[in-house]
Amino acid sequence: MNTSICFQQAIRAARAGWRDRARALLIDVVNNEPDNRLAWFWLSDMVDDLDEQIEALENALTSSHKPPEAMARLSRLYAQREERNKQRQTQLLEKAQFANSTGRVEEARQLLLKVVEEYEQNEIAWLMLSEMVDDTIDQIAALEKTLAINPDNGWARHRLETLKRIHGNPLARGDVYVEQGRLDEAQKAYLNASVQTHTVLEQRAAERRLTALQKLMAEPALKPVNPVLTLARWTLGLPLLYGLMAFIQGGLKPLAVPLELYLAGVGVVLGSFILASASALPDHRLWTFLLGPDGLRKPLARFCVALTGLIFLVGPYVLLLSEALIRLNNYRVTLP
Amino acid sequence: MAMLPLDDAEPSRYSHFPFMTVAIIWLNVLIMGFEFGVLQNNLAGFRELLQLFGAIPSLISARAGGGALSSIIAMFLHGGLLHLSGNMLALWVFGRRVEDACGPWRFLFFYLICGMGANIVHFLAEPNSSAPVIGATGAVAGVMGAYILLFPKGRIRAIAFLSFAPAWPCIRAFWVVGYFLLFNLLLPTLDALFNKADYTAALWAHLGGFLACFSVFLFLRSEAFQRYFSKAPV
Repeated sequence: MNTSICFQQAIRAARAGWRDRARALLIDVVNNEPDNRLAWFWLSDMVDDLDEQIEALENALTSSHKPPEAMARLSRLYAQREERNKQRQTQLLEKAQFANSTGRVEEARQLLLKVVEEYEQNEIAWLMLSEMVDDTIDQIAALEKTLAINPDNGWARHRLETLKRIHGNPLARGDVYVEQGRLDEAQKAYLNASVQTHTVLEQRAAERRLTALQKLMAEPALKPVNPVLTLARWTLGLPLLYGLMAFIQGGLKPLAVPLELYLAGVGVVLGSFILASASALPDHRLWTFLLGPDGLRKPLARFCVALTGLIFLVGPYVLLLSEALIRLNNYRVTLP
Repeated sequence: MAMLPLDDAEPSRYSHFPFMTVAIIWLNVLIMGFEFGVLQNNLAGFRELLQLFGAIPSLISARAGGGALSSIIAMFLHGGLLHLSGNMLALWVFGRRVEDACGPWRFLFFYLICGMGANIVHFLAEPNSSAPVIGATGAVAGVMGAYILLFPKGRIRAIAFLSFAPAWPCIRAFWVVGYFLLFNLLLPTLDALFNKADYTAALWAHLGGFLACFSVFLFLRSEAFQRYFSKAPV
């Protein structure tokens, strides 16, 4: 059939609402005349798949003549595709996270590989992948990709530096694995280290660590403790001491404790909380929100936060002890 | 039978040097030296020192004297070399591993809480007493209690006089602490109850310090806490 007649029939079919027939005819037309922009334009309306719609519309708009309505429609389609991709990435990442948390590491890894294959610019997927691949070289590659996407990712940079440091140094690698609780891998690393070392001292160090690790492995597995519990424990200690001191200062009568000591107690709780959270949760989003992506990793930031906590903490104690000192001086003058 | 703990037979897990335990011991020794200096000059001065810095329940109740300040300073004053050496030996033996499990600064706060707890129990038990309470025994009792809580299977090298010949057995810590409790708490309490004996030692303070040992859970390192609740050696 003549292409022109075929195109006419396709338009008629489209207007009559016979989408399948119109689509088939239009596909024939664009196969015969790939430069038929009008046919591409009609086809973009007849296909259901979002990617196919975009492709057809892009082909329709290759010439210098770009109708504003068509451009607007293309922009809308791009936005829809962007939204769909985001949703799909989020779903895949959530699936991967769930699979990992339920011990199906291989499945999680495959899902992440799928994400990075389809959406190469997904920073989170690369970061998660860097934690799920076993080989140090793969981890380094994943982190480098993360940093290429977002050079400001302080956590990835810190981890990459650590990995580069331990790469080729099995002893240091073993130490990092122990820190991460990956004891089997740590054991392998120490065994490697004891074989590969060049000096007797290094060999002894590897053997010592291997012995300590074997002791550790013989122990029962440690139950995980929520860092928030650690934060709560460490926060309570100093206010407890302050409370006991204020109780004594008030003559063992809580109602006789001066109001300012009660108010200062709030400062002790706050200071204790700041110090405890700086130690227990250095990666908490509070710190990354306040201090940038590096959080409390920079020594200066740690020092400043610790100093703030100490100021809040020391003030109330100084107040309490100065009140005690004044009373002691008053008592002193009454002594014979 | 007499028994004296000499050393902790087991190694620390996290740190190599018990910085805070040693610092507390040195501080106590220095203050003892100061006390001797005051005592040598005049007895009245020494009495004044005790009146000012000893923890006196009647003054505390009346909201007079140094209050919290005196309560803290009283923990570092001792009534003689025997008092000091007994407490410091116990602190050296039991304090090192507790400090190791807490970290030096948190250990210091734990130690102070035990001392404060000991004082408060004593003040509540004898609110009208005008005798100054001094000594680190309450705080040390807390440290001993924490040791038993954290290291129930810990072994202590002790010197024991079973007959005339001394022996150096390595015994479970709970026997040593049980011995301490028996001679420092149970027997004097029974004696005081049934024979109306008058004790100069602050028995209630020792008990209070011992009870305050539970606060150690607020100060443990994260891993030590995890180990405790996983029933792994701390």
